[in-house]
Amino acid sequence: MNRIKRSHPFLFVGGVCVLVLAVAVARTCRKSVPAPSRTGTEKAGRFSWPSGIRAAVSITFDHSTGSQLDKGVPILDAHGIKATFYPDIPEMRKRLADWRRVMARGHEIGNHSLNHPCSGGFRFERKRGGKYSLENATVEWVEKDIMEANSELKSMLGTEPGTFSYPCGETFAGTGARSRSYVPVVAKHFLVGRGFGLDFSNNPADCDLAKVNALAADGYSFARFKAAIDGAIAGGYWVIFCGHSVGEKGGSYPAIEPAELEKVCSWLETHRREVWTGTVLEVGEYISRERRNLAERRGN
Amino acid sequence: METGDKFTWPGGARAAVSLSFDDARPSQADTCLKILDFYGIKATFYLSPGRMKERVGEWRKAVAGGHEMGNHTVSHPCTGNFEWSRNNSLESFTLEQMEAELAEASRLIRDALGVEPGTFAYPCGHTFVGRGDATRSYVPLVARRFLAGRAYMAEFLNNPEVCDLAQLGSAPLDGLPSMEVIPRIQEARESGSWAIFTGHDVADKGFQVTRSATVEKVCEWLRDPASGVWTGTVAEVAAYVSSSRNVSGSPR
Repeated sequence: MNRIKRSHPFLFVGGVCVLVLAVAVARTCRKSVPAPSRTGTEKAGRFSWPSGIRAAVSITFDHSTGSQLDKGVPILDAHGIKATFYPDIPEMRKRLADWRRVMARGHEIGNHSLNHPCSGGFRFERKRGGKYSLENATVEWVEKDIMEANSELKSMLGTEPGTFSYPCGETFAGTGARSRSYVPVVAKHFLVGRGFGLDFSNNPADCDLAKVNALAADGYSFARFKAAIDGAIAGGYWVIFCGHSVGEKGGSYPAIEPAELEKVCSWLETHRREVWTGTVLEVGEYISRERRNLAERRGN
Repeated sequence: METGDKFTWPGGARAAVSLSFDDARPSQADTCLKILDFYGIKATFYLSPGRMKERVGEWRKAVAGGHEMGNHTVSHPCTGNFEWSRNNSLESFTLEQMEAELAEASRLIRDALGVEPGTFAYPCGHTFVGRGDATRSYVPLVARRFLAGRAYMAEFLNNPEVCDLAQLGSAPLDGLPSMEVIPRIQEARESGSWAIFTGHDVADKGFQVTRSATVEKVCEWLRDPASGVWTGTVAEVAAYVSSSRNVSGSPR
């Protein structure tokens, strides 16, 4: 697939235009994020994060609500934090120029399907008459919906998304004995598929990139962010946070308060030499490349 | 009511509630069953056969008392992202292995307690085996063998007209005060839904612990006829939902 190519996990080299590239590189260099160079002391044969890094963090937002643009992005940018946004396409279209600028600053925009199919257990799904509910869907239909979103996003933003987030964190189509997983479809088209709402961080040595988990960070205080980051540091994990809105309620989800987001971004900026904060695509690409290197070294 | 005109809960109830507890933790036999029995509430226990052996006598009494004993696999495989499941991860499982797990867990429970598990709880709520493009759902295995399969950490309540009985949602009970549990039941009552709750240990406090006081207060609330809620085991409610669908014609 036509994924954005990056030769280095921290440098954006396949961007929208030269000016954007220059800005992104300048920002990245100014922030002096640690490069993934190996030190001689690292043990061969074990997964390791870039030198000095003990855990990775990705901050993600679903549904491209206006509060993400107005209240979230300024905080992220002030601290040089690159986040991943999984859009609701009609919502994104309302402020497309703003979202293009967000992407130009190095944030990632991924795929969250076109029609957001979820379980009919959700009230919003029943209000649509079950037309898009996963119980009534097939894997083939879900794939078509996801690929239509890819085309839309490509026409809107100039590039196809490299990662996907499962609407409602659900991965199935159909019911009972005919229920099937659509994870294989996501594995086929994207480097990473991000789930939602389970209670674990991702083990980079072994996690299935097609179904990584994001903690439901809606309403999180700094203390809850910090506890999850501490857990990731202890295990060497990749913790992914997912929110829906900043400073105002987004649909049925409580907001992340700007003051709490500010504290966590400030902490991440201060601790960037120990904790790597990257987009889902950046971290996914690092993990993928590191595993390939390990496999080659084992083969030697 | 948000559910259609065709579906009604028994006895004029406006919602259904099931309480379920996983892993056959000894505190369930020692503490939880006493509270449930005091209030006359029947619950579902998804037993890990190994830990079941620590309280076989109590579990037999629980069967006699009308509680449901369900299947939760033998070895409790979950995603390898959990440190404790790294050597028994779903990412490295096959459907054949899972089929064997389901059969063996049912056999062990049948041999020890003389009862055939009718429903299943997915360990960690995960429904897959394998990884990447070889990921497969094991919901079909559960659908063929059991009346119902209960997942975990769902945001939604089960709508009796459209829910997949093989993949029911349940909400966590651990660590919550009753004032955070009862509103979810009230929400189920507003929408005519089936709320399922999942707990682990039952004690005062701790990790994966449902507070004894919460079980007491929720049972007391459920027991009151004014609650307007039918409380049944997962198997009882699933059987009712299933038979209602057969009578009124399949909703799908």
